[in-house]
Amino acid sequence: MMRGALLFLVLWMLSGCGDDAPQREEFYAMGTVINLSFYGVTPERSKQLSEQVQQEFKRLHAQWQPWQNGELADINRALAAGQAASVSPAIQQLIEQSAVLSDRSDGLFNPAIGSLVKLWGFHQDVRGDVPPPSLESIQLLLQQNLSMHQLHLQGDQLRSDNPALQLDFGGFAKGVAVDAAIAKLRAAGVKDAIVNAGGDLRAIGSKGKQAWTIGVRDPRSPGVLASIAVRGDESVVTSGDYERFFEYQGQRYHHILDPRSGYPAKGLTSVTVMYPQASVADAAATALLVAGPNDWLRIAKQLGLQQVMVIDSQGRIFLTPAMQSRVEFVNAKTAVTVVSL
Amino acid sequence: MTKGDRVVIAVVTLLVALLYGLLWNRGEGQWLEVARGGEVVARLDLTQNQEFHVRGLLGESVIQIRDGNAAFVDSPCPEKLCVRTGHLHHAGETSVCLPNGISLRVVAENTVYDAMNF
Amino acid sequence: MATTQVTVSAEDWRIAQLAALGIAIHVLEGAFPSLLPGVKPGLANVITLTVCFLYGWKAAVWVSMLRVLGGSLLAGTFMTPTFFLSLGGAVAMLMAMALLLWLGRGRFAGLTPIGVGVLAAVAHMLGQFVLAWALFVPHPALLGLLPVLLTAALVFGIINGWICHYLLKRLKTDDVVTAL
Repeated sequence: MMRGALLFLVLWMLSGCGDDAPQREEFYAMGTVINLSFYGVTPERSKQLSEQVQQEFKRLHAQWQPWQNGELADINRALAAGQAASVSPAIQQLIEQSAVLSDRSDGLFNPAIGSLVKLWGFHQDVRGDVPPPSLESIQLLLQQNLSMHQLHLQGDQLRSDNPALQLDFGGFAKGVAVDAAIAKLRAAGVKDAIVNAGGDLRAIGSKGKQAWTIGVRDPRSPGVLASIAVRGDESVVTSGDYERFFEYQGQRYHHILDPRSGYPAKGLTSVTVMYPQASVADAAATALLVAGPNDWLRIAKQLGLQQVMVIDSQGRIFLTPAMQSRVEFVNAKTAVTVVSL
Repeated sequence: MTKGDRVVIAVVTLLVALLYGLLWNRGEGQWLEVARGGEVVARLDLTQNQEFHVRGLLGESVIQIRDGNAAFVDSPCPEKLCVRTGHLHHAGETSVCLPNGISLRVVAENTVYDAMNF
Repeated sequence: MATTQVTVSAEDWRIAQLAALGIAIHVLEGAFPSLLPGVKPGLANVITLTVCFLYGWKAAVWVSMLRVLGGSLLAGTFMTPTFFLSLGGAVAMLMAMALLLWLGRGRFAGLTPIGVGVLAAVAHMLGQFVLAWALFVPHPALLGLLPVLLTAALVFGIINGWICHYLLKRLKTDDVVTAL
């Protein structure tokens, strides 16, 4: 009987190579859902870490949200009044980094267009299907040539040449927050984790022996278009015209505005960028979506990107060679065009 | 065939049947997790057609499951982005109604995707 | 010039012949397309099984290892994934038989070739599966295939066991090779 039991046990062990699933956490911050995954930590620890990350996100959001109360909101009020504003080191860094990225993207990623975002109403969590702004009001703002070059940082003093210039870091702030959260987790000794802020995600380590598997949403139909295996330290950021939008008189208006036209960007429905830092990946994805079908490749080169996938409004998929080797399409027959950088 | 042989065949058959139950019942998109403010409030069987009402920050969201697909069908939020998101089916897919604080997520015992990029 | 005298015993001959037979079956089976990926009758295992009953476990190890090596060399799959899968399966099967012999104190715990065949086939399949998982595709989707593979192992284990049982009944110990 003992021997029979032993045999049973051996077979059982052979059949069930136990897989320990990652811990998942979820909370709301920065106007989006934040999903966390941890591998190799206990459920209690996972809750603790999630609590810490949540604190960090809430702190950064309070500091960076452009319109209500908080440091950036105060800065914006000072700029509008034509006064100098004193800026904390964290926001100085945000301004400097985004100014560089704005330059390299030919101003297509442009955090200086806060007034335009506000004019469209995308600064509100809930916009509602109210009419888009008038062409005149948009053009009035465009004539201001809003750009990060109109900002001057001396020590901790920030001045602007243009009272119409308002800062809104938008998705970039989410990317920076993801990077900050990862840094915090690392400092806490976490090796394997994903921080996903509504599509801005950064993954470190792996899921045991397996790589983390990231699903990329299909912009045209509900479902998954492709998966990407991520190991080590990498960010995957997708910007899409389907993330936030409103409809007015049958017309769809999404939230990624083209600083050149003042209207939602046209031509591409989604851009996925892989890069070490989530902040850069986010600014880059925004810039490429704005750049459109003719210019995204050039801007990607200028930004030093290697791994990019874009989908145009006809549903055609374009990939850089480095991206092609990373992406696994759910439907193996998906037609793609590989374009060299 | 001896008694031992029959025992062996019976035990192996049983184990295999058990494995079918274990590994085949948790195919893709088995459950729909409904969360309010990040806390899971319901776990719905995606194979059962049903309607689920959940009270959020603004009011009642209505979630419908039909033929393995789940979707928000009604929501008190002004933009109704969640309703427009459409149907969820694959494990890892999510739909979120931010204004009402309700999120849906399809889960399987062994979720294929660790994170979704959208 | 120094020469080394190699004495070839009758048992060496038998093992070589049986291994050759195993290789032939192995290669022949490989030539037929399989209905389901990963599912094969594993008729070459009949030889390993029969040898284990007739000449003991050590002889079975020889025959089985020679078969894996020779078969892969002939089929041109040596050192490829196919070879390692085949090796893993054979090792797992031999270990299962060793375990059975140990449990039954050298007499297969009162099982006939049918019972042993089933357990050997299941071990063979599990060995391959674990190896495939560890080395090649640790994908959750592969787990869904496991019950199907094991069902096949069960069925073919019974069939192979039955063939072995039939062979053992018909054969006088020494002329397995000629009779086959």
